[in-house]
This record gives sequence, C-alpha cells and structure tokens, in this order.
Amino acid sequence: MKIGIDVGGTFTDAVVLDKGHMRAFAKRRTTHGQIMDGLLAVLDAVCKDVPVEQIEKVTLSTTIVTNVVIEGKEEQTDLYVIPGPGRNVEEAFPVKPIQIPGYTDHQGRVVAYFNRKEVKALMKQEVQAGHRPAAVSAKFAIRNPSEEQALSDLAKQSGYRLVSEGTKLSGALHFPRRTVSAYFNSAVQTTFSDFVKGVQDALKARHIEAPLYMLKADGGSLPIGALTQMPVEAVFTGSAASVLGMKALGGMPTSMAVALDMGGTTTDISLWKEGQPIRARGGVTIRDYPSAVQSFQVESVGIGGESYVSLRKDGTWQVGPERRGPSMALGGESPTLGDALIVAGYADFGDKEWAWQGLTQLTVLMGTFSTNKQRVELGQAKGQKQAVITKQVDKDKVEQVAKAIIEAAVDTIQEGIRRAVTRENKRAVYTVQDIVEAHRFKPESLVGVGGTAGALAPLVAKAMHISVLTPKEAPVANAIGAALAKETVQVSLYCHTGKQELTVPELGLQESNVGIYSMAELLAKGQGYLQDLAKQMGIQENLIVEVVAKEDFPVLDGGYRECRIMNLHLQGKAGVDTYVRD
Amino acid sequence: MLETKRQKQDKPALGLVFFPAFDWKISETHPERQERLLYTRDQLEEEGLLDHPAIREYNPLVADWNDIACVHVGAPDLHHWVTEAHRVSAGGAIAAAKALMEGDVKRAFALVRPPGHHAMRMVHGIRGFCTINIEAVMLAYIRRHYPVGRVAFVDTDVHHGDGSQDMFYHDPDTLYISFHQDGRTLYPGTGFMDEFGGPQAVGANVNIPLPPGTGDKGLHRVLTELVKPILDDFKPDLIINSAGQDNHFSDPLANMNVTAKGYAELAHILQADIAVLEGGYSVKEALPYVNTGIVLSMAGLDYSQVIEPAFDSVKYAQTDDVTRYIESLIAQWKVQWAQRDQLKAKTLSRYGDIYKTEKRIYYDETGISELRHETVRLYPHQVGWRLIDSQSTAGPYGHQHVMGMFIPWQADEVCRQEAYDELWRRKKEGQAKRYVIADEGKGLSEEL
Repeated sequence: MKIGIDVGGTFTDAVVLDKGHMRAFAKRRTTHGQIMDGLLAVLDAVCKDVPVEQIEKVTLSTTIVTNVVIEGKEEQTDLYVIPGPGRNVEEAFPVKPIQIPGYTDHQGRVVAYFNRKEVKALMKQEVQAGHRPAAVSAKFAIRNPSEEQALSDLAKQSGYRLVSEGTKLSGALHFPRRTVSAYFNSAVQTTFSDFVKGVQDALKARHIEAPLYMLKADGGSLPIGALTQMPVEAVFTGSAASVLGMKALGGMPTSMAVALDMGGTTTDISLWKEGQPIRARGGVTIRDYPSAVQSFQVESVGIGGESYVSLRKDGTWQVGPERRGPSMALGGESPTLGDALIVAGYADFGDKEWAWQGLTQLTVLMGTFSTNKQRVELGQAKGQKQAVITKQVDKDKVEQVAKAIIEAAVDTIQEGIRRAVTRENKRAVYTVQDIVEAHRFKPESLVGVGGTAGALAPLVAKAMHISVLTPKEAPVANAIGAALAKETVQVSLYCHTGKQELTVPELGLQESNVGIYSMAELLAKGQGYLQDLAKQMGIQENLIVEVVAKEDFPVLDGGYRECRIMNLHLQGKAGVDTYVRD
Repeated sequence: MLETKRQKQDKPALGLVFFPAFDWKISETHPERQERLLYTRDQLEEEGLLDHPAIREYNPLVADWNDIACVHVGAPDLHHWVTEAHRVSAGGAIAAAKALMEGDVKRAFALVRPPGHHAMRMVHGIRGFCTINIEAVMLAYIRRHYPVGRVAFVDTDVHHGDGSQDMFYHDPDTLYISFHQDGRTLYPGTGFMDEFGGPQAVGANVNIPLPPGTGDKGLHRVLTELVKPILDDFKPDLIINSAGQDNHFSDPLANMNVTAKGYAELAHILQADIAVLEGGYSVKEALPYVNTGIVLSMAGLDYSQVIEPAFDSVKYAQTDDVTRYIESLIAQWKVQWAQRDQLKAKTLSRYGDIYKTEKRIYYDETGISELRHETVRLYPHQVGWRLIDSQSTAGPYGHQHVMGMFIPWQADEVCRQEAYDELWRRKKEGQAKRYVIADEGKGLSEEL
C-alpha cells in the first residue's frame, strides 16, 4: 500500500492506495507555521485502519521549500561563480556573487584556470565570518565540470558546511539558471533537512518503516536521501501533484488537450499532448530569479468558484481574481461566481435561496447603474437583505445577470488558455523543417477537475467548440498524484566524436577515448548512466527511459575532418505507476 | 504616425529572431554548413540571453513567394534556386521588421541564415553563399506595410555587399553604405569610392574600402567621422545594419583585426533599428562572442566584459600605416560627399531620358557567368524603371536569357504603364525566353 500526502495552501490531504484502489483518505486544514501538525493529523487519520507493515512507500508533496523561498527566509549563502567573459552577472542572482576570474569556453576547453591560492585565501576569510553554506557555479561547466568541481572541493576544504554545484542540478545550457538553482539548493538545505528529520521521527513513532519519498517540481519523486542533496527540486510541487493527480484519475485524452484544475480562487491551465503534460521551457522562477528546476507548464488565472463579483466602471462584470470568502450559498457575505452558477442552473450546492439573494443584489446594482450611469458599491449583502427582498425583481433579469457573470468568467479562462497555447506555439525552433512543417498546438478537447469544474468546464469547452471531460471528482487528487508519482532522474550527455570526449555534468564525469561515433551508441551509453545514477540515488524501480531532447550535428574538426557533436538529454519518464479506479 | 506605434512603453529593448537553420548547408565542408551558428546558440543560451527580460525571442516567418518575386527575377526562374531555407531566412528578417514596426520592441536583430547581401536583382545561381537578398525582401515588405520613406543600410560585413549595392543602386531614397576590406584584396573585388549610385541616385551608394589589418580603432574612426555624419545628412527614417561578422581577427576568409567588443561598440554607435546577420565564418572563435556582444549592445546591456579567449592585443594591434591610410580615406570621402549634389546634377544632364550600361556577373558557387544589358528610365523629378536584359551560360540548366523589368517602389501609374509598354515592346522583338515584371510597390510579379 502507498501513502500520499499533499500539503497545499489551504488543505493538507492524505490518501492510502492499494493497487489503484483508494483505501482511506483525509483532509485537514494546513497549519501554517507548523506544517508538521497538519501533516501528522492527516497521517494519523488515514492510518487508523491500515496495518503499518503493509505500507510500502510514503510520498510527500509539501510547501516547505516553497514557503522558505517565497518568504525570503533562506539561509545566508556564499555564492561563488566563474562567469568568464560575457554578460555582466553582478545583479543576476539573489545575492551578490563572489566572482572568480577564470574561463572554460563553449567547447569545454579551460582557457584560464582560476587561481587556487587566491581563492583559498579568500574562502578562508569568508568562512571565518560565519558557518555558512556555499554554492558554486561556472559558465560552461556543463561542457567541462572540472573547474566548478575544483572550486567546490576547495570550498569544502576551506570549511564550508555544505556546497551545491550548478551542474549537479542541471546539465542544460543556461549558466544563470544553474547558478540560481545552486544558490537556493544550499540556502534551503537546513530547513529541508530539519523538516525531513521531523517527518522521519514521526513515521518512526508510528512504526511506519516504509521508505519516505518526496515529490519534485518536475512531477517525479525521489527517495528522501537523494533529495536531501537537491532540496531545491522540491519547490513549487503543488502543480506537479495536481497534474499527476489528473493523470492518475485516468482518461487524459491522447489528443491535444487543455486541462483545467478549477479551485476556489484560481484555475490552473495545463496543456497535454499524447496523454502527457507539456513541460515548461527553462525552469521555474523562484522569487523573480529563473532557475533550472524543471516543471510542467502551468498558467494560472484568477477565476474560481469563490471569485468575488463586482461591477466595473464601464458596467461590465469583474469576476475574480479577488476572493472575499465563500459563496453566499455556503454562508458567505458577498455574491460569487459559484452563486451565479447556482442561479443559472449549472450548479447545485448549499442554500440556493442565498445564491438568489446575492444575484438579486447584483441585478439591482446593475439597474441603478443603468439609470444613473454611476458606479454603486455593493454593501454587505446580509445587511441589505431586507431592502432587496421588498423589491420585486424579475426572475428572468436575475438569471440574465448570472449568465453575464458566467460569460465574463469563461472569457477570462479562455484568455488564459489562449495565452498558454500562444506560448507553446511560440516556442523557439531552429530548423527549416520545424518552421515549414510547424506543429501547432490546437486544443481538441478539454478536461476539467476541481470543485468548480463540473459546472464551469463544459461552458468553457462549449465556447471553444471542443469536447469536454469532467472525470469523477476525487477530493484528494493531489495526494493521489503524489502517492503514485514515478521516480525520475535526468542525465545530459555531450559528445564530440572527433575528440572522442564525453561529458555527463550531473555525474561530474568527463571521459576520453569513449569509442562513440553515432547517436545510437550515445543513447546506449546514456541509458547505462541513467540507470547508474538511479541506483546511486536509491531508486528501485526500472526507469522507462525518455529522450527529452537530442541533437546530432555534423561538424568539421580543425583539420577539416568530418565528425559529430551530439547532445542527448535523458530522463526516467515522469508520470504515475498505476491508475486509480473508483 | 510611424512614431506613435514605435513609442509603446515597457517593451523589451530587443526583438531577436534567432534562426540558426541547423538543418541547412551548401555542402558538408562549406563555410555555410549546419554548425555555423551552433556555438553561437550555445553561448547565447548559456549566457541566459534568450530569455532575458530585455530580449524577446521570435520565430521566423516563411516569406511568401510574392515577397521574393517582387524584388528578384530568376533564370530559368526563382523556383530553381530558392529553397524553403531561403524563404525562412527572408521570413526571419521580415519577422524582425514586423516586431519593430508594430512597436513590440525597440530594436530588432535577425540572427538568421542563409545570408543575402551578395544576391542581386537577377538570380542565376548562388554567389558569395547568397541566393536571395533577404534585406531587400524585408525592406520591400516594410515599405508595402508601413509608411517608411528614407532608409539607410550600413553593411558591416568584411566583403563588399555587391548584391545589396545592385538592389538599391538606382534608388535615391535608400542609402547603402558599406565598409569592407578593399576589393583589390578580397572577394567580390568591387566596392570602390566611384560606385556612388546610379544617375538618379548619385550619393545614395557609399563604399568605404578599408585596408587589410584594420582594427577596432580604425573601424570606430570611420564610423564616427564618416558614417555618422553621412547618416545625419541623409536623415533616414530607418537604419538597417547588414551585420556581417567577418571583420573579426580570427575570420578564416578575410584579414581584418576587429574584436567582439569592437563589434558591440559599433552596434552601440550605429544604433540601428534592425540588424540582419550576413557573413562571418570563424564559427568557434568569433561568432559566439561577436553575437553576444551585438545582442548585449542592442539590448542596452553591459558589453564591456565580452572578451574572446583568442584575443591578443599585441598581435592584433592596428599598425600606424593602416591608421594613416584610413585617415586619408576619410578625408577623401568628406570631399566627395560634399560634392554629391553637383555630381548628381551633372550626371543627370549627361544622360537625358535613358541610361544604359553593361555588366558581367560571376556566380562563384556554380560557375555561372551572366551578361547584363541594363536600361534605366530617367525622369526629371521621379524614379524610373530599370530593365535588365540578362543572359547566362555554363549553368546546370543551360543557356538562359531572361528580361526582368523592375518597377521602383515609388512608381506612379504613368511610370508603371511605361514599364509594361517597354517590356511588351521588347517581347515583340522576341530575343529572350522569359519577360518578367517585378513590382515592389504592389508586391507582385508578372510574366508577360
């Protein structure tokens, strides 16, 4: 049996899954400041009737790292960079970097070694100032990690408690992103380790001996031991859990699809191709700094079931992004999109009378607006209850207002979908073939999950003239996504067949005389390295190897000999290992 | 009306159409092969410039056949020479222009290939790695869609852009300035001071042939003391930089001593609205750094730390001889530039209504020789048509004889009708295989 726990912004959910069947689930308020309390509360709730020895695996998706970076509470960290010539990076990172002269070029040739003596002296001085962690990153270290590695070794020797290296976190081009990843990786490590220790102690106290896993932003999971080396990967895992949850609950169409996760305040839009969510280019942005942390591409719009409704100056309806509380049908004080959905007959929950009350208020407001051409603020709905009820308002008119409000919400969501699709279709491509035979993303179907999806998703689909699917609602989809997340790791290979050199930055590896001449040979080698890395990280399952990207260039050596430069990026395929049935 | 569109606030400083055409080559060992911009891609991506907030990346468009056929006439026809890659490269330049003209970005750089500045009005094959003139296709597109009058090109490729010179030679509203390594020492062997523009456009073609060994110092002197003042006199609505990168000290095909930072400085002084990549074949030592420098400079970012590893300030210093030569060249040019109006009046009075000339063009890539008889109609106060009677031999498609009638973008209906009448008259004489009208203003091409 597998346990999945998802710590979200509002709720902490837990689920126990037995081969695709949900054995137990629980939902508790997230306890901000004391995440562990809420977490233990759901854990205890779901474990009540489950024999602990049958638990095989516990997977967590938490906001612990997210909260640290959003609140700027990360630990003070010394950032050493070897930027070489190029862009000025003085202001590119969350802290002022300590810049070390030296340079490795785009071919991985060390043009200038950094001065070991000077750097050692400098580090000694810095370390004395406090017992801080450090992060190191060098431009083009992905082509030759030796200088970055040397800098890291020196930092450890100089007494830094822990050191993160950019290339260990990402083998992709983009020095600033790798550097930002390395910085945050070191800066959140203490908080992360403390949290992990807390969870481990709690599991132990409950005699749960199953291994602990944690979800990463890229939708894969890792054994906790491995993730402790790369805690930055556990940032912003909420949307990954949500996307995996959709997949686990089954039936993502194989056509090009738009998925909407419709909550109380926001709707998260993801795009799907062949049953797989599309990944974001580059990586997630952490406090305005683009990092190399991989994720799915998710676009958020401020429309949800509890979106506050107000009248704009021009007489049109403003729906969201503000939320003032629950819908009036659920005891709230101001009318919401959810109330409009009830009045228009698309939803059926709570006290309908109150929903009508709220919408009648808005109708009167609209009437006053039409005659005076002046904007009127809606007061506290409950306070005005008497006044409204005495007025006879035509039922049709109220329904019309509800429909206009829903239309405005659907427009906003469609706008968000258009933005997501445009971004996908503007993805840079670099070959004539990809331009001439452009593969444009065009949504063919829509999938809606979340509290508001049943009522609203069909309306969005109708406006877009595409089919809609609203899978049966599971109240703890994100926890299910976390529980079933496959384990993933990534490796990047860069091979120059002329020089017979191979670099695998994530492994800190540079080999010569590799005997590789073709992409097929490189792929075979890469698969081996991926499995090695998986083993090293304590992954037990067999990974399904996915080619994320590959490039194969015929190039000329200095002596006009033809050879090839090949780039290969492999990962264990992300996704879920089983589907959940009712 | 142009300005209002271009003054949108809060837009990225630079629109970048980066299109390395990783699947296009002339041949496996040709300088124009797949890897040409591979290391540039690596550098730009590693620097984090492709998703920098000051820079917005665009994909190229695919240029319509009419966008190309309204400026070029091909033999046997354009379809025999123009591939999808050329349409995408020209479409890349168009995408850059659109981003700028729509006011989405402050400046634009089409970092695309294949290049175009050796391609002339008639296309019998590939010359100097170029098939169609992507800047000319772009400019015709701009003129058809936006109210742009005077345009200045500054060609900073090491080779004389004889194709661009040919495209704009008779247009007084399009100033073409090229500085390049002296044609007596480098392909294509043209680009001298006396090529000063056709009779109706004297002063609209400025060639500045520089001595081998010119470095940053000489280049910047030419730019500030000559090019800038000429631009100030001409008052263009738009400045386009044909941004060849082969003045670099490491370029294998030329002999200049310019550095990456020198190129960035050049871009800073020039403040071009649009830059379009041309040549540059030191693909590992120069292009990654030169392009980083130009992109940083055009995006208004600090380029002072762009120093290529191969640079040696002693080895690549500009000699005193070269400095003196450049000084005297600038002085000579100042005299000629000051006399442009007199020269124009004199030239026009010499020719009357019709100007005729004869030319031989060599297409190095395919070994084709073209013989042209050109006729230009001269009016007192407007720009007239240009007819090219063009024959070639030794090409893969045998002997060719095509007449191309080029109607200037400024043409009115009278000029247009006269152009048609003239080509019909020629057709009656019946010597050529094809008679083609290329009409830039209408964006059309027509076979008579």
